[in-house]
Order: sequence, then structure tokens, then C-alpha cells
Amino acid sequence: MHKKNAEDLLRRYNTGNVSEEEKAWVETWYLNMEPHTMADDLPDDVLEHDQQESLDALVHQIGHPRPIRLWLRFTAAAALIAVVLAGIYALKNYQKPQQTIAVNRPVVHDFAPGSNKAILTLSNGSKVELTDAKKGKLADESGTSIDKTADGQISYMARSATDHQKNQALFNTAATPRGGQYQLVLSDGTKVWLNAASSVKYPVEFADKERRVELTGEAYFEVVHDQNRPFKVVSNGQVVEVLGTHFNINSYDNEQVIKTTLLQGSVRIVTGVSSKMIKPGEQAQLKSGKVTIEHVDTDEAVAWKNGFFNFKDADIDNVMRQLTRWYDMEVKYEGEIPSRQFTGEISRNVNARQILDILSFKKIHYRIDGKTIVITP
Amino acid sequence: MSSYEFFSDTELIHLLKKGDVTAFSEIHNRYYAILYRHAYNRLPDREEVKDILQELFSSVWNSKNDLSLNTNLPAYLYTAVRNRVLNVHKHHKIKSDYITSLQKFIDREHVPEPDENIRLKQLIEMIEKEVAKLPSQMRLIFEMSRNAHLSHQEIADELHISALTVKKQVNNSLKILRVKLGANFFMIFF
Repeated sequence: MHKKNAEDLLRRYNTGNVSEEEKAWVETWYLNMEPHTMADDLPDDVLEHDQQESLDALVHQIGHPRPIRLWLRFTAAAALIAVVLAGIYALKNYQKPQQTIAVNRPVVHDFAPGSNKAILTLSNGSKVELTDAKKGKLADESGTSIDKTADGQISYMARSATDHQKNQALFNTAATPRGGQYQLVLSDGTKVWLNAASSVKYPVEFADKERRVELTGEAYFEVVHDQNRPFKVVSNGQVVEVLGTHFNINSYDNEQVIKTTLLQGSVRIVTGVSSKMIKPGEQAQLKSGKVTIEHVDTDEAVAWKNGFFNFKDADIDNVMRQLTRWYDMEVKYEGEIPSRQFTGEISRNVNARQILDILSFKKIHYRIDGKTIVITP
Repeated sequence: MSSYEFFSDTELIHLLKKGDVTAFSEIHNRYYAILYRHAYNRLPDREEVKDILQELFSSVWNSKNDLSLNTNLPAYLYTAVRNRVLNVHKHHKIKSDYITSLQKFIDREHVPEPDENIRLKQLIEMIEKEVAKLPSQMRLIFEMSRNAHLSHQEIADELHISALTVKKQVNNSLKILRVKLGANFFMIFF
């Protein structure tokens, strides 16, 4: 080829005034240029200094405060703490889930956290979606008014002139889907927090002798004390009898153990063959018809109600069962299920991937296949 | 605020286009050192390299809505640093070295690589080969962004310190953060 003048070529390259072939010459030469190795002698702290200085100047120039993350030079800690901050941020915004979702959304293939939603089935079979209901009266059940009193909460209020007899025979069911939670105030003032994928069935008005509800899944109860009318929760092979107290029942079908955890007062766990009392701080564990009593950290049992996942020596299967309920996703395992155990607490208001990424620190590998998390070896 | 270190380049670009400063700073965090090394080995003048990179990152922010930033962040950054290295004005010595070297290359009738994509791929390989020579923590940041997430033991192996030290370091950082934020809850997945 015609011998080019390098000076002219380089000048034209820098102004973009070159043919494709000329461009190829310069760029191929660049790839073959023998570089110095001066950077090898550059002290690490000089590089670190210049990098930090550069970022400070840029961020200042853009007109924003320096991001908080940059305090830390230690990578792993920084990565971890970013996640913690996400959790704190999410917690602070817990009352405004919509906003938090918007912040966390940009990640593709992720699962937004659950929210306050449930379906209320009235005695006549009609269904009310509680997600969209505005504050105010939802329905009337023969003189008992069902009101949405706050975000994610409904309450039952009997008027004096109602037909008590009739109301005691009318049953309502509140059911949460996966990724939903809801709070109810029953006719006696008892509060029920319903976790995801759960339901509670109760009469519009409780009978004179006893207050009886049926539970599937998980709920936390704050039962109003009534000496004359014991409160009974029927769930998955056991009846929990109380007078007035705070307790949590986890009775999901796909959990091997039904756990009743007492925070205040006293409750009796009745199964087909046994009847046992538990004290605050104790947990009754029903497995294959047998009840055992353990001392537990009650915070762990009710963490969900306070907006957290709380795991204590939980295996991956346990962790994933909780995640799939809250994030409305499926889980599949490829190869052996990892046997590692996890302990820790994290906000339920972060996206699923943030939690999965923390797990990957513990060598839990995963990929996302549509709505399914596949745990890989 | 989110876990930006876990985000892929594509996700960071997505956030950057929305004007997310933390995404921008994460890109800076990820690429500054490697671009610095590359430029410095061809242009061994610290102030000059700093100026080049400052201008380069400024232009990343200012042209964040350009389509060319859409697909391949490293290709965009590496091309940008090459073009700036070649366009050096201040150093006559370096410039004349370039010209001598380029002239030799032409005169020896090397065969230039005609495919632009292959040249780009070679540029990426050439620059990323130097990752191994970065200070270990910067290298980790870069590699973590590429490869998944490392366990304490793997980080420890990388840094030639014990896993316990890593754990302590993480926990110390958590303690410091707890004090700074006054947060009353913590997640400790270790």
C-alpha cells in the first residue's frame, strides 16, 4: 500500500477524518504498541487518592452530596452494608410501600415485596377485594358494620339493634394471597395480623360461650381478655385455647412443624391426644401429632408482623419457603439442596433479589427463570 | 439507596440514564483504576492521566442519554480512554514517540485488523488483562462486578488474609455503621 505519513494520519484520526482502512491502521497499531510499565511502580495509595479525589470532584460538579457508601474501602463490607442500608431505607419507608417499590424497581427479573392485600368473603359468598377498598364502610352483615379503618385493616362493629343470634351464624373469611398481608379487628376487639398465603374464618359476631376462629397459614393474635368466653383458634390439627393473650401461630401446610409462640398471657394447645399449657417465651411445636415445648426468641416468631424476615439456623428450604410466600415466586432445586444454615434479619420491604444476593455470599447460587428461583449447586 | 455493587453494568447504565448519582459513582468505582493504569502506561504523567479521566467521566455523565452507552459499558469506556490517550496535546515527546511508532508500524507493512468488532474485543482483552495488577481491593471490586459474589473465604484467599480477619472487618464495619446511623436493627448473615 501507499506509505502513509503517520503524523498526518494520527491528526486526522483524532479529528475523525479517516477512512475505515486508516482507522484500522491506527487502532491495530494501538493494540500492538509497546506500553510502558510505569503503572507497576505506582503506589497503591496514589491510585486510591486520585480515584477518591476524582470522584469527589465529579460528584461535586454534578451537584450532589457524596454518596454515603464511599466511607468504606473494604469491598465486602461495603457491598454488605449497601444491602443493610437498603433494608433501613425500606424500613423507614415502610408506611409508603409504593414509593419504596419505585426505588427498588429498576432491576430486571426481580420480585417486588408483598403489600397489604386480602380478599374478604362475606356470609352470602360475595367477595370484597381489600386492596383497593377505600376507607369507610365495606359491607353490612345484618346490622354489623364492616369498615376499612386504616391502610391494611378492617374492623367489625356491632350496632345495638342487631340480631345477635343471626350474626353468630354468619361467617366471614379473610384470605391473603402470596405476597399479601392484612390486619383485622374482630367484633370483640381482638386483633389479627394475617401473614401471606393465609386465611382466617370467623363469625361476624362471637357466640356467648366461646370465640372460635379457623386459621390456615400464619397469624399473630392479640386477643381481648374475656373471662367468660375463651378464644379458640382451630388450625391444622390443633386447637389453641386462650382467655386473653398475644401469640403467633404458624400452621402452613408446607411446614413440617406447627408452631404456636406465646408472647403474653397463657394458652393451651389441644390436639387429638394431648392438652398442654405454654408460658410466655415458649413455643409449642406440633409435629406428627406430638406436641413439644421449646424456649424460643419470640421476636423471631413475630418478625414478619414487624416487617422482617428473621432466620435462626434456618436451612435454605425454610428460607425459601418464607420468601416464596412473600414474593409470590416458586422455588426449584437443581442437584442437592445446600445444607448450610442461615441466621439473620432483613426487612421484608426489599426486593427478593437483594435477599438472594446476600444468600449468595454464603455460596447459595441461583438463577431466575420467569417466576421461579432455581437454586443451583 | 440500594446494593449497587451487585448491579450489573447494564443495570447501572439503566439507573445512570435516570440520573442516578450512586450508579454513576459505582461505575467510577468499578472502572477508574483500570482506565488509570491503561492510560498511565501509555502516558506516564499523573496530572495528565487525571485530567483525561476527569474529562472522560464528566462526559459519561453528560452524555448518559446517548445511545452509544446503551449496550457495552467497558467498550464505551475503553474506546473513550484510547481516543483520549491518542489525542494528547501537551506532551510533544510522547506525541512524537507515537508518530515514530505508528510510522514504523505502517512501514513494516503489518496487516491491520479490518474488523472493527474484533479490534474492540482485543482492546477490551488488553485492558482487562491488567486487572490482575490492580491493588487487591480495587481488583476485587472489578472482579465482583464481573463474577458473582465471593464468600469470606474466597475474599480472604484473594487478599491473603484469614477468613476470620475478613469476618472481623465486616463486623467492625457494621458496628461503625450502627453507631453512625443509630439503627436499631441489623442483619448479620454470617
